Parts: sequence; C-alpha cells; structure tokens
Amino acid sequence: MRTTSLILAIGALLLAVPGSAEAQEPMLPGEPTDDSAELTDPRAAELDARAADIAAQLRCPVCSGQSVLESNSAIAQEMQEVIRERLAQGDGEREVLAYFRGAYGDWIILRPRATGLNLLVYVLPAVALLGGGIWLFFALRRWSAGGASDAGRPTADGDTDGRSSGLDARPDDLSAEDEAWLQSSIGRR
Amino acid sequence: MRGRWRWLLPVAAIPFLGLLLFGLTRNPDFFPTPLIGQPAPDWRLETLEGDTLSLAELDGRVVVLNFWASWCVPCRAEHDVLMRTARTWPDDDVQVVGVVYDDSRPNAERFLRQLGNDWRHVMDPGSRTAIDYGVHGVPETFFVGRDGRVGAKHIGPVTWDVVQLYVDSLRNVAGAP
Repeated sequence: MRTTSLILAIGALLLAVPGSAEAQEPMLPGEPTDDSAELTDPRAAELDARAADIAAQLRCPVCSGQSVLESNSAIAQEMQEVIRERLAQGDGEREVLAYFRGAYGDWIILRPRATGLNLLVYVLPAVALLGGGIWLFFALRRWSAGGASDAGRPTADGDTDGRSSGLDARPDDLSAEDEAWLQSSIGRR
Repeated sequence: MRGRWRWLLPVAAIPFLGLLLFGLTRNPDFFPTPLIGQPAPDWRLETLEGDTLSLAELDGRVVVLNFWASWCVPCRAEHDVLMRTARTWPDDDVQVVGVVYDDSRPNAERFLRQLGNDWRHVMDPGSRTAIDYGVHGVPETFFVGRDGRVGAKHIGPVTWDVVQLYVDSLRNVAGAP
C-alpha cells in the first residue's frame, strides 16, 4: 500500500509538471479556452466552490491524513472530477457524500459522525478537560490554602515521596509567608 | 497527589493501554467495504482487445473482478493465482475480469505479454469504476456472485486459498433466474 501511494505521488508530481501534452494542444485563435470560460462563468465558479467544499470533507483513499481537496494523488483528482460531474447533473451535497459513503463506507468522511462509538471522540476530550479542571481546582486550593494542614506532615505518609526530605528539616523560625511560598513551590513540582 | 489516591493513575492508564494494544492487532491496510451483499456497481468498459464488456453481460456467473496496474508490484505476485483461477473454472462459470487501474494501455499490454493473459481486461478511464467500488489501491479483488451481488472483497494480492474459498462458496449459491 505504501509503495502504491508513493508511486501515485510520483505520478501526480509528474502530471503536475507544466508544459504537459495537454497544455500544448493547439488552440484556435480568438476562441475562448476552457480555462478562461471556467474563470468567467459565475455558474462554473460556484460549482467549483461547492465541489471543493465537498472534497474537503472526504478522506483521500491513498493518503488518509489528507482530504481529497488537499491531495494531489491521481485518485483524489479523479474523485474531484466525479464530485463536479455529479453536482453538474443536479446532485446535492448530501447525495454526493452518500455516493462516496456507499462505495468507501464511513471511513471516507474525514470528520467522524457523532453517533455510536464515534461519540467518544467528541465526548472524551470534554470529559477529560472537565475532570482535569476539577482536579486542578481542588489541587490548587489545597496547595495554596491547605498549606497549614500539610505543614507538619511527615514523609512517612508517602505524600512527598521523600523528595522534599531536605525541606522537612526546615528551620523553626520560618515566617507564615515563607511557609506559604514553600508549600506552593513544592506543589508546583 | 495524595497517597491514598496514588493507585488511581496506573488504574486510569489500563483502558488507555488496552486501546493501544487493541490497535496493534488491527491491520491498518484493511478497509471494510459497505458493498458486501449489495448489488455490484455496474460498468460497461472498453476491453484491451477493443470491444466492450459490461458486468450485466456476465449475469449468472461468478465474477472475479481484479483491479490491477502494471506499476503495482504485488499485482505481479498475484498474477499466477489469477492465471490458475482462469484455468480452473470455465469462463461461463467463473469469469475473471481485470480492471486496469490508473495505467496506460501499452503498459498494461506489456505487463500481460510478460506474465501471461488468460482472461479479459477492461480499461477504466478516470478511475470511475474503481471509485464506484471504493478501491483504495491495487491490487483489490471483488468476488461477485451469480446474482450480481458482491460476495467478498480481498485487499492486496490474492492467494489461491482465498480464491478457492470465495469462488467455491459463491459457485454453490444458485444464480439469478
């Protein structure tokens, strides 16, 4: 598969080289070329925009990290052509996406649909963020305000893991402010 | 973290590690196809010989539809298996059809001259048929039943065991009237 995509990529590069056979086709003077017609016709421009919009939602079959719009692989280029043809035939975005889903499965849609197991992708980050936030909130509160209750805690508790053994041998004449600073800097580690 | 909550961290890591381990057992080159059991997308394409062939014409036969290209190294490896497939069953029972994927006609013809050719091949301009079938890369092989429905799909070079398994199971199913 990897070789295949490599070859496709090289092929796409070769195709992208300017001055290819296609570009050298003789043109009748005065006759508008296809390109300029596409640029000037607002309907063609709109079709291109809609096609690009759909292509951006589809996963390239040979380079799965990229969308069909971004990819220069031959198959992605051909898929863009299919999208344009289908739109021109009167298909809507939904029909075009359904066609590709029918051929490639849900895999082809870049953004996972928020149903079933896919829902985890959307819910888990929010849950992790919320859980982490709550934990951080309480942890910060303990580190700043709860310093006094932790002050005399011996290392045997396992809390400080023995790393702060040097700090446990603290002088008795520490001011309350110093104590708070000390606690917060331990917490920061 | 407080001592009595210390166990929580490794415990929380277990489902995560489990997920990673599960990922190791999965083949990243395998893409499930929604086409299994569905009517195989029809096509009418020009053969390498110059006439046209369509899937509809092959109704009632088991069709081994093989997407390949001359630039595809694994396609070389599976060629002997396809030769054997074409030899083993008569064409009116099991028809092997090669779909030339993203390749030129002269290259395809040269490939077949080198390695042998015992079945029919069609050109697929613009890869329309490949996209209809949701092809990711070559080789990919679809096994179409006598009723015109996709029975199985194999990604990568086929082996004789794979061909035998799928073709036999599809041959034993009564075809469309």
